[in-house]
Amino acid sequence: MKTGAEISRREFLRTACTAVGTAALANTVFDLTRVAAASSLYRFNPGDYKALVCVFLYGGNDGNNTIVPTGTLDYGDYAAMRGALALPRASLLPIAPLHSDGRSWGLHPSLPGIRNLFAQRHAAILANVGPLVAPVSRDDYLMGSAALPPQLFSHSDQTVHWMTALPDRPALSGWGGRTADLLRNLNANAQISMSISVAGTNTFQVGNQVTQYQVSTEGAMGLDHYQTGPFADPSSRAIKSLIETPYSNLLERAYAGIKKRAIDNGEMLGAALDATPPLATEFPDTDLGRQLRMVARLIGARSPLEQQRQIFFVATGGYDTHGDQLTPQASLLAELDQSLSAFYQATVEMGVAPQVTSFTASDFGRTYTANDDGSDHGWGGHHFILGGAVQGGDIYGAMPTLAIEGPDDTEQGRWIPTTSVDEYSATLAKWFGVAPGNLTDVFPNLGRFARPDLGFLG
Amino acid sequence: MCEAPARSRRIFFRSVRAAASPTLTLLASFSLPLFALAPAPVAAQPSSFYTVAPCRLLDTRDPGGSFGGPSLSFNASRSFTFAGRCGIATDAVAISANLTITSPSTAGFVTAYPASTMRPITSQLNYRAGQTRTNNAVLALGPGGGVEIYLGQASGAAHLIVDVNGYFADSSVAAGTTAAPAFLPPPGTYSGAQSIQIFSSTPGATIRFTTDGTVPTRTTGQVYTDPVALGTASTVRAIAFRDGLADSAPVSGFYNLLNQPTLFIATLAPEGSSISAGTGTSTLLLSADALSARVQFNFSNLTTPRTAGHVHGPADPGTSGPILFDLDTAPAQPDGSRIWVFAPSGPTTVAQIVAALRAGRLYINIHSSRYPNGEIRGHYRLAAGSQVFVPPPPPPSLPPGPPTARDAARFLTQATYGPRFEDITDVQTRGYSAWLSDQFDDPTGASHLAYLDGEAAAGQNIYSNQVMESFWEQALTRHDQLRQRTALALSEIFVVSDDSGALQNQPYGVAGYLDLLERNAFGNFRQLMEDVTLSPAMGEFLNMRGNDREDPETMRNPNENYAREILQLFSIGLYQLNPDGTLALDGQVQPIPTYDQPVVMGFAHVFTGWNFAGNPLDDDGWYWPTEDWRQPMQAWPDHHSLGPKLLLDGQVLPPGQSPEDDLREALDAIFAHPNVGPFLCRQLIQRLVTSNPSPGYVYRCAQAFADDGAGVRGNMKAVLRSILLDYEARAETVTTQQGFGKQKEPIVRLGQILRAFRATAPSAKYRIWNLESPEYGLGQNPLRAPTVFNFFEPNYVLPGATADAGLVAPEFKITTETTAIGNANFFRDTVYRGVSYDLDQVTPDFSEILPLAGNPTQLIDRLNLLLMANGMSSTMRTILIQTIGEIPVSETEERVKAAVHLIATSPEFVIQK
Repeated sequence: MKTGAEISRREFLRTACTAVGTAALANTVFDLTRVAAASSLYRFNPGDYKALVCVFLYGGNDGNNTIVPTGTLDYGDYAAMRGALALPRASLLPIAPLHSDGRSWGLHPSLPGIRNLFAQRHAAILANVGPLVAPVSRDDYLMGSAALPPQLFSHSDQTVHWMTALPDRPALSGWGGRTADLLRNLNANAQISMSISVAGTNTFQVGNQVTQYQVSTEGAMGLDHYQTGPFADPSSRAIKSLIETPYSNLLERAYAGIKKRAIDNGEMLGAALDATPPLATEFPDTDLGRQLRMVARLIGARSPLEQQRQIFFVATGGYDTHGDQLTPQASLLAELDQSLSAFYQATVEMGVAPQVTSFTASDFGRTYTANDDGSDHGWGGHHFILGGAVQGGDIYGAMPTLAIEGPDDTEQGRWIPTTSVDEYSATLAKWFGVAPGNLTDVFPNLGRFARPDLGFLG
Repeated sequence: MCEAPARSRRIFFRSVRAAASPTLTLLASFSLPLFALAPAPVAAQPSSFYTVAPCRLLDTRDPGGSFGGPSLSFNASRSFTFAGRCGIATDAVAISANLTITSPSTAGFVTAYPASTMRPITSQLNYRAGQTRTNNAVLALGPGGGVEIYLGQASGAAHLIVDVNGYFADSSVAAGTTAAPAFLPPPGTYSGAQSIQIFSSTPGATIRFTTDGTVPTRTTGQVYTDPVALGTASTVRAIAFRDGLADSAPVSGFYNLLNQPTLFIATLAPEGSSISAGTGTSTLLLSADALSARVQFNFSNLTTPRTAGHVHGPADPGTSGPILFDLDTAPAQPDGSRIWVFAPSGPTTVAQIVAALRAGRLYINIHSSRYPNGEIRGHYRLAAGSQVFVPPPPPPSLPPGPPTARDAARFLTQATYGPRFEDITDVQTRGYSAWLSDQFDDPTGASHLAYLDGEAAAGQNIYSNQVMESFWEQALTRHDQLRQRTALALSEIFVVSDDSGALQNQPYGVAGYLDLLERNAFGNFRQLMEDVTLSPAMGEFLNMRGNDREDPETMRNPNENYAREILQLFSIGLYQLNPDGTLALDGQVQPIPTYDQPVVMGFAHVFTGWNFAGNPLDDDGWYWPTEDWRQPMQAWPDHHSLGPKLLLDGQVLPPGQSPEDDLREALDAIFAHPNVGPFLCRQLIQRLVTSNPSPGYVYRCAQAFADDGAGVRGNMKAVLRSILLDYEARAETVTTQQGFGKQKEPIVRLGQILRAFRATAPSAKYRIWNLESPEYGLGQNPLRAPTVFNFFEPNYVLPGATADAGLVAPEFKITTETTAIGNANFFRDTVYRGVSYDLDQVTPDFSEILPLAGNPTQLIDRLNLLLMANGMSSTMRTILIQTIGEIPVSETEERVKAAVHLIATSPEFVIQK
């Protein structure tokens, strides 16, 4: 780990902006599909609306303390194995999956909202999912005969693999971006991109054609201290005049044009948000709460924005709990729980709950064995899918055998994923509208895995 | 915008006799109309004397200068060209100068006389051994402004200094007459259509022109506004006039356009959401009559077999257009190409097809069974190329006069991280050439590695942060500014990056690499290539470190990464170039690849057997070396490939050579390739001066690369001198072309603001870290490009008006809506509170201009010189003066900061012209 000054903006930016050359690809230059739209005379159809919300937990959430065995024997093994990391059995929030694997489970005590949604069948769990090149057995792994994602257990690489769903290729685009490429005609008249990030530039939304549009938790990225209207201050008026001057030099004209479009699109987005009725749902005043509140507001503005499809990216960090794990993970999961619960409530309030699916992702799970009071980088982890369309109340995939040197272990409880990111993502993308015949365009490796549709979205 | 420096006219001679001077006898013998002293009255041309700021024309004591040593030798003449230098007009017929002799080994005399004439028996200066003596003289110039200088000594040598203070010229040029129009590019033979600029150096002059053979007058011919498009060989005639001045004489120029077909090239890449490693190239030759085209295409690495191929359009990148031409309906020609006879297609007329092609709105795509809607596609872009190379004509002469403040500031904007006021004065006083010599002579200071060592000794943990601190400290504070800018430019050609992967945690490797670039910035390109090749940072970045010989048993082959990139990105590029950087075309008018896969494999075998220095040369040392990031890599003969190795153009290295010999000969082969000069020159020009240099500009630079005047190839000093002193870099008139200039990349913009205002932090460190965030930073950080392809590529085309004009705009690759906002906010923060991530802000110091805050006009004009080389448009100037005037006069600091902020985020500052 780096210390002191080195963990500063760079660390933050690294987590937010992973290996792809995203600076160049995060081009929000007006969505070029609009040009095609003009000729196709596409009409906005508010009845056919869907949104996907990727909630990325940077650092690698410890799934082993997110979903914990509660059976007497299982809990005893858990407590023995995790040592200082073991959560008190009484604090766990029991869940009752529709299909049992014979073990009983409870959620981390910070997750009461998700537990309720699970009980109401609006939330599902996907167990032990992670990046895979192809299915891997423990024997294959130990023999070194398995095709593995490169740089396993590395933050930057595993994050990118989650986002591209293509661990064995150079990271050129994310699966969210490729999905948007395929469906872009549904947003043919939209001024801003289908791919909207409230958490900075990311690989997930890098497409070949559809670019990502950055917003802040307050709305469009805008010029600081910039005022509009007749009472704007002198500097703001000068900025406006300088970008509206008809330059004869083509490069000056191009630069002024891009800046003007950025400001205009920001103002257009602001106007669309202002025109949307305020939400009654209260969001927690946390980073993730503010991000998801902005997502809810953008969903509310889908009609003026003429967006039939929206792919959102939100994220929060701090999950890299190598030491002193218990307290920070509890507060992080509480933030997650309260934010996602409020977000679900907001979709109900807006009448779009069945049309909005949010899902979590994270660099990797963590080691089952504790290192004193923390855990180290792992591989497979457990994740939540929430929304009105989710066939909730159940655990999909397979919870690992929680045993060192068990069939799911590499070593120290770094679980070999039994479900691939490809299957997870393809299930989401199919619900979102990618035709079955096009799924392999977005997920070229999907055919290597058994279940192209995991069923958690019907 | 295009004012020529005014000549200060002091004396106006009407008669020859009035020109009598102490050196009359000398001049009398040369029958110059100006000074002829024949007994009969002479119908002499009127001539005028023009003063120039005293300027050193010649100093033989300065062996490194372009116009200097070595000393003059006894009883010999040497030729010099004085016209066009130090502000002497190219039409000057004589100069007034002080001649100074110094360190003569014996007594003697100096005779200066017009070139191409007999040496007279008179002299201008006589001296004794060891004396330093000066005399003023009027020296007549020969054709082209040339002078011969003869040293009359019995033996030995002496140094001579010539300082000019004025010149005589034909007065009709300036005496109440509008300056005659000039053409750019100059008249001559060209391979295809040309766009001609016409300008007069008289401010406010109107130009009329014709292309039909008639002679334009004040009332006939077309008034010139935009560049004249010539499609066929034509003579352009033009006249300039202005009220209150006599009309210029009409001038004419013949443009011989060979009218070869126009070449367009498409590079194919994955289309839509397809996931493919497929690539391809297609060329489209538009016939001169624009009625048909010849389409050639190739591709590789498709996922599945090709099922179809079409040309589509009109459509912008990222959008789809209807099929215009099905490649499979036209029979393949013997060379594999298809002939496309244009026909209306749906609503698209032939004219619209051609217009779409020229605007970059036609694309070719290749379909495969996996991707029936198209797997790879590419838009056709206009490409310059020819089968027969015609050397570009020389450029017009630069206007006379010493550098104005604007000239000096423009020059410094290209050559440094931006001027300070005293730098501007310095260049004006010394002239460009002397300034360059001074920069070339300035040794590198303490290295980046030394900075890291100092920080480590002070107890700091060393990360990439300290590399960035050292980078900015040197960029902002070092005197060797040209070296700093050149090193940045080289770091964007010879790219390594600590963005991710191998170098992410190797600050010593990256610092050492930056040192290497600075050390070689004024050296020889051959040495630069070798140092880059053996640097552990590059070795790690492109997998040459630890690159092992082939092993038939495991089917292992040497890694091709470095071999491919040194050819494609660092030296010669994909296609053979003419000496002016345009594509050389073969008999089928196709581009000619510089190398193919077997050549890449040949070089990959050359680059085997190298690893970290200082390790034992056995397998332990090879497989588990101690990492030395400071020394060049060393060779392990046992891990070097022993077979023969194919190089460029059929050259083969014999088997069994040592790793060192193979490396040397392979780098020699690359260095000798004719592409290197134009390839390097174009990119350096793009980094320093303009994104779209003319072929002539590239050609002149490439000539300097090929031979620095002393027979040396690859002399970086000669290359930089050529780039920065070229007509296209220096001429004011060029700056008014609609496509001239370049975007200052964000790093340079930040450097300019911080340097202009001497930004410092309390700690005296420059903790300017991690600027790559598009939202909150610059979207660019030194030595942190996303890939080996740099932050932007030299051929990046921005869709829209710049593409329609056939321009590339590399820096616009990282100019997005997000970075446009992010940059603007970043620069506002920088101006208002400084740069850094903690309390140790690197803060600009505005005290130098604060006293001007009370007068908005003076404030803006001063900043205009400092930050924009006086290039601010009157529109922008008016806006700023008014804006600052609206801020209460009591808010002194706010006025200054608002002014700097508005300039730093303005399109006219961002684009350097």
